[in-house]
Amino acid sequence: MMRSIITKGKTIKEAIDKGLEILEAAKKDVDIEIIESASQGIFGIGRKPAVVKLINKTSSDNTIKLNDYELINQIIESEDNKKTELSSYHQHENTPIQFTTSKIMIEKSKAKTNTNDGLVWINDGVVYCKDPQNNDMYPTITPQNGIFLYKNDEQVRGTTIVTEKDQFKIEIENEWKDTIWEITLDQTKMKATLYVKPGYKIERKLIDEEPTRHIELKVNETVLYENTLQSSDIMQRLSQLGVKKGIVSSAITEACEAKKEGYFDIAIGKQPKDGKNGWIEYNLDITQKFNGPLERKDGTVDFRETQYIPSVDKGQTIATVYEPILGSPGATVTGETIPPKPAYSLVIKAGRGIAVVNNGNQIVATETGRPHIQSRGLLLRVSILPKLVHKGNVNLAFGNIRFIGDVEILGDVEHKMKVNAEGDIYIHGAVDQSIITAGNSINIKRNVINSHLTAGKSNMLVSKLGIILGEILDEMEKIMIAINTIINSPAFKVTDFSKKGLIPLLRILLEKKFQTFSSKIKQFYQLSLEGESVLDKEWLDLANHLYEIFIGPHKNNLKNVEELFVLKQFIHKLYDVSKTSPEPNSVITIPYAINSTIYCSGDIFVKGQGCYNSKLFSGGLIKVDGIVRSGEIFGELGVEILEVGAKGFPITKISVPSDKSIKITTVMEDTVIQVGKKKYQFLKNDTNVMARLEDGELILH
Amino acid sequence: MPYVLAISAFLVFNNNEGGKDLRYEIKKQLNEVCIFLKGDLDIDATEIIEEEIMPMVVNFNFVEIHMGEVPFVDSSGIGLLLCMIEDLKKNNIQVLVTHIITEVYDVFSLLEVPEIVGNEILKVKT
Repeated sequence: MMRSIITKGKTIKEAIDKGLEILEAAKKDVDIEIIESASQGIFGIGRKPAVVKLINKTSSDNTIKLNDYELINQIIESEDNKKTELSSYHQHENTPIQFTTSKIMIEKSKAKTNTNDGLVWINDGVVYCKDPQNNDMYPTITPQNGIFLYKNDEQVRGTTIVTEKDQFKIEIENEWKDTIWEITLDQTKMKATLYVKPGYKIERKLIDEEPTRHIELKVNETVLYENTLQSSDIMQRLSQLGVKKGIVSSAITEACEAKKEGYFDIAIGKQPKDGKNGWIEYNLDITQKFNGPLERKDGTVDFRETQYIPSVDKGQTIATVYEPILGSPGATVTGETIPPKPAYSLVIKAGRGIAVVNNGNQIVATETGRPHIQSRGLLLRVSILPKLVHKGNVNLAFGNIRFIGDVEILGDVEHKMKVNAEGDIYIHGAVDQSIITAGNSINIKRNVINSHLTAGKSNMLVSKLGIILGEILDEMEKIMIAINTIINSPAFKVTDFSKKGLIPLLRILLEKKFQTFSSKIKQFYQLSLEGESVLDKEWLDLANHLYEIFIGPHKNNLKNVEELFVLKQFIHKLYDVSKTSPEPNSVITIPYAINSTIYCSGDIFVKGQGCYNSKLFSGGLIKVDGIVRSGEIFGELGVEILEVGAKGFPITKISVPSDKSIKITTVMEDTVIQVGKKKYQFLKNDTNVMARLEDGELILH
Repeated sequence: MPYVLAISAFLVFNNNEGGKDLRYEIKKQLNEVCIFLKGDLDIDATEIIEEEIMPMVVNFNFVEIHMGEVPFVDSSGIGLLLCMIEDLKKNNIQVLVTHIITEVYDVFSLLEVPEIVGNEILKVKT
């Protein structure tokens, strides 16, 4: 643009306008200088124009000036030194546009604005900084736990200054843990359990921070669970452990996918299915029901009875016997078979009047009478008991009664008589100075005086025999151990076993080391002989057998230890039978006993006044609804009495085994009770006694 | 080679078959006699003991049964020994069983033979 101009015009205004036009400016932009103003003359002679000078105000010194317009654009990507370019645009009037560039180096910084001088910040896990202007403060950082900070390749543990010139390296520890797993077999090998604790990765990331003077370098933790367990690993380990069966694939899959620790049952064995022992089904109700004549309070007897006594006719089928149902074996996870519990058949012993037909499946009566069934575990004895009814008293005139079935006496049993029945004895009257012996039960409706009652004799014998057998078994066990030790002695030869069997060795052992053994065998033998009439054949057979082997004349010889073992097994079987209570067991029921001895393999019920000076021995319970004065009471299964003892009378003694109890409602002083081995004598009267042993001590209430 | 032989010798010794018949030697001195038993005291020794040794020793007042060379016994043999001792005692003849090998004495102990015949009668080989 021109700076100044001189212009002419008819008038001054005309000259100014002309000048502005040429300058392309406005009046305010120029200074005006009038050089000559216009003159008119006379009648157009001597006319002169106006002359002005216009000067442009905005220019100075007539030099060309630049209009600056600067724009700074900086982009930095990397953490290393990188050159950035500054570009600026300059625009000049009438001159073409020119570009100039300049380069600036910046390290690790990404400045969005110009105001981050002297600050440090973290963005996207990267640390940036900008040096301060002038001599201002430099930014600092402090690494926290888990962060390893290296400045110029040296680890920095504490706070450090950050400048653009430094080289920083940050290492963050990531953690990882492997999946832990273990398979355990339970003791019975019926279950394999897998324990899994999935592994994990802890990823740590630097936490971003806004620009600030000082930063504590901290991390964010992310836990990623990673289950590295493979089913192939599991299968291999299972194979190593010998696990072959019952593998649960779903559990294995579950375990491999588990997100947290847990236990998984990956193999489950198969339990054996137990069988069922043989059983019997009766065609009629075989239990007797006695609601016999009751003694009324006034002493009179009500003879009206409601009772049910089963009865069969000749040829009638009593029962059907069923074979055992075998179980099925199970298997451990290692493939070992677990046999099911064995299932046994019933053993039927056909007694009097019984036939077992149809391959052992049916029990038929061959006589008329009452079917009497007694079982001991799997052993069943069935017989038909005929009935004898004696109308009137049993006395010298009539004579003693001995009968193979049941006996019912409508009158009394007078003194010094004997009534012996294989089945039940039912006496409507009283018993005086007599001996009543029943294979089964005794039921007496009136008093028992000076008499001897025994019910279930064979049961009691079997019990006693059982006890001795138990002792014999214990000794045999020890003998076998001794024999084995001797046989294995270096200096001992077994050469004479083939010729003489075990006898020479047993003889020496029985002489001293096991000297009580012989006497036990003899004891057993004696007792079996005594009960020959009431016992099963097996008992006497065994007694004879044992006698021959151990005492003499050694006809039956044991050839070796195995035979001894077999013998022991056989004895054990019979022992087990003896230990099983017979069902139903014998029962004695009486109202009142004086000076009498009463033995029963089962329960004894004294339902009336009680007993005086009598001995009661029961293999079951003794229950007295009345008073017991003097005498001795022993109940194998316990004793229950209303009132015991009386001052001035001889002492009453009540005893039970250690695991049973004595229950007495009223006890008088001087009464002695014994539970197991603990005795106690009452020093004064007492009530509601419940004597038993607890932790070996006798407790009374 | 000698190693192999040693093992087989060991096996033979422990075979418990023994297989050595019983022999004996006698040393007399006045009314005392010592019977040196050599071999296994077993069922096969029955005849020798019952028919030869027993009839002979009853003539003395004191009998020593030397068992130093008896490596094995069986139950019959022990029985024979017990019989012998009992017979001698019955005849009021003093008896001693000496030089019993430890292993043999162990068998005696297990059978409580010392208690049967009397502790003082049996002497272990030291």
